[in-house]
This record gives sequence, C-alpha cells and structure tokens, in this order.
Amino acid sequence: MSRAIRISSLRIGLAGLLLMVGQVMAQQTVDGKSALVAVEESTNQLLAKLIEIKPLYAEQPEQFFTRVESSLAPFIDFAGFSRGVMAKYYRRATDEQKIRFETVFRQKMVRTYAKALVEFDNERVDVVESATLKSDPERAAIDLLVHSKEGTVYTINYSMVLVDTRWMLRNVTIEGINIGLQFRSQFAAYMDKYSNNIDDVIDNWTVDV
Amino acid sequence: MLAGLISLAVLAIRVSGFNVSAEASSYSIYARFENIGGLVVRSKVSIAGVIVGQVAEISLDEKTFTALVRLEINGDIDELSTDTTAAILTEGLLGGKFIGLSIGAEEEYLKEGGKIVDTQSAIILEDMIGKFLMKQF
Repeated sequence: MSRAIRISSLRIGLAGLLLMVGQVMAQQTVDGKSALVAVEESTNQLLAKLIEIKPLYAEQPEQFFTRVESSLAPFIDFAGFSRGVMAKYYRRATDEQKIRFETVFRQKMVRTYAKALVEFDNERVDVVESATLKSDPERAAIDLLVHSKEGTVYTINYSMVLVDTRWMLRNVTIEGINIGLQFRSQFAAYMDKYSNNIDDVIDNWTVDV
Repeated sequence: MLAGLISLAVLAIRVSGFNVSAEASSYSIYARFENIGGLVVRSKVSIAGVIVGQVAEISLDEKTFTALVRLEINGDIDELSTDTTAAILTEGLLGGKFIGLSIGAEEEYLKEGGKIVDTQSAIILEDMIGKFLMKQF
C-alpha cells in the first residue's frame, strides 16, 4: 500500500514538473500562437462540443459521427497522417487512390475516436509541452495527461506540424506506442495480405486502437 | 597449435559480428528516443530485415533526458525518405535490440547529418508489467 502511495506521489510530482515546463515554454510562440495554446484551445473546444452532442450517439449515431468529424477536421492533418501511413506505397499510388485512402482513413479514425469520446466521463486532462526537443520550428510535441477516475494517468503525445499558419495533429503516441507507425506497419502487412493491391487494402482498411 | 589459435581468433571475430573493414562509404543520420532499452553501439540497423548500417554512437541529451543515437548507413542506401521512421525492435522474444527503419512517402532523401523525426522507443517489459500492476489497485 505504501508503495502505491509513493508511486502516485511521484506521478503527481512529475505532472507538476511537466506543467511548469509547459508554462515556461508556452511563451515561445510560432506564428502568433504556440502549438501548446493551439492544442489547449482545440481540446477545450472538443470537450465542450462533446457534451453538447453526446445525446445524439444513442439516437442518431451517423449524425453524431458527422458532427465529431466536422469538429475534428480543423485540428487534424488527415492528408499528412494518411500519407505517412501509406508511406512508400504512396509514391506508386494513383491520385484517386490517395484521395480514397485519405477519406477511408479519416472515417475510420473519426469513428474510433468518437467511440472513445463517448466513454470519456469528464476526466481531468492536462495539456503540457512535451520534453521531447523538436529542433524544427514547424514541428512541436505536446503531451496530454488524462487522469482516469481510478487515479491512473495516461500520457498521450501529440506530434504537431505547422500547416500554413495552423498547428495541426500529424501523429499520436499513446503510452509509448507510436500509432502512425503501427498504421504504417498495418498498411504494409495488408499490402502483403491483399497481394499488393492498393485498392483492396483501402477497401478492407480497419482501425482498432 | 598456432593454426588452431589463429582459426579460433578468426572464428571469435566472425561470430561476434565485428567487422574491421568498415563500409567503403557511409553517412550518419540521427534519431532521438525516449528509451533505447538494450540498444548498444554496433547494434544493427535494418530495413525489411536487411542490414543497411549500424549504431555508431549513443549519447544522452541532458536538456531533455532523451537518447540521441547516431546511425551509420551504408553509402549505397541513399534513398531514405525524409519521413523515414525508426523503431527499436527486439530480435526474437528476448534477444538483442536493433533499429528497424521504415521508408516514408517523401521524395526527398536524408543526407549526412539528417534527422529522423518520428520514432518508436523500446518497449520495456518492466514498464508494461508496472502499468498492468497499477491497474489492479
């Protein structure tokens, strides 16, 4: 029991330290707004939106997904994300396949995300600047610390990229697992499974996180 | 006797994977990891399981407390896209660590001194057990 207490106090200390780092680094802005502020704003907006549209999920799930998708669209660089997932196969895909994969990828991601959001029950979320150094001014790493009701803290790392003048999400690492890379491996594995037919891979694409 | 000793030495060198004649030409790229697990200098770097280089240097960045790894890539592997990712993987179930590169979509290539932006750190067994145990409380 004392061990559990020690671990949790260590966690709180760590979270506090990260918060301090966040406050210091938030002052450095790129193009008017720092990535941290952008993520904070979008997270708050999304959570507020969720409370508003949550009742829709039970009654009209399709409409719920559409609403979630339109709320996410300004914050997620789906084009860049899906491009990174197709990776080396992107170079040989036709324009039509690229667009089709982006659409399928976006739909599947939104559904997975929306279902996770429905289970979200007003847990505390801290947005902090990640300790990971990004030397490129057009990239940033932001950590989201989600505090579960049981007291466990889950770390979600957002890899942000500056698209024109807007900070957008390019990749996510959840508890140390790089999701974009998992999808890249999945795409390659599917290429193997569906005899190198990109169309079949797109038709059968699934997202299980 | 002498022949026996020489052949033993050759065998030892061969088995250890030590290679004196470095690749005729090579270039360095850098990757940053939260945790490198058991990765060591001279660990393999591979693409699709094919060895394309080795870990040349490992250092700790004291600003972020992350590991900075310098990879030495064979000169003839010169088409690594700038969005190539690096993951620390395990050989076999509990074997040594190596770096697996995965080629991206960009048509610009990493050059000497290039940086890999997207990485997957080593997954530490103890961390996973720890997380599992914490969930039981």
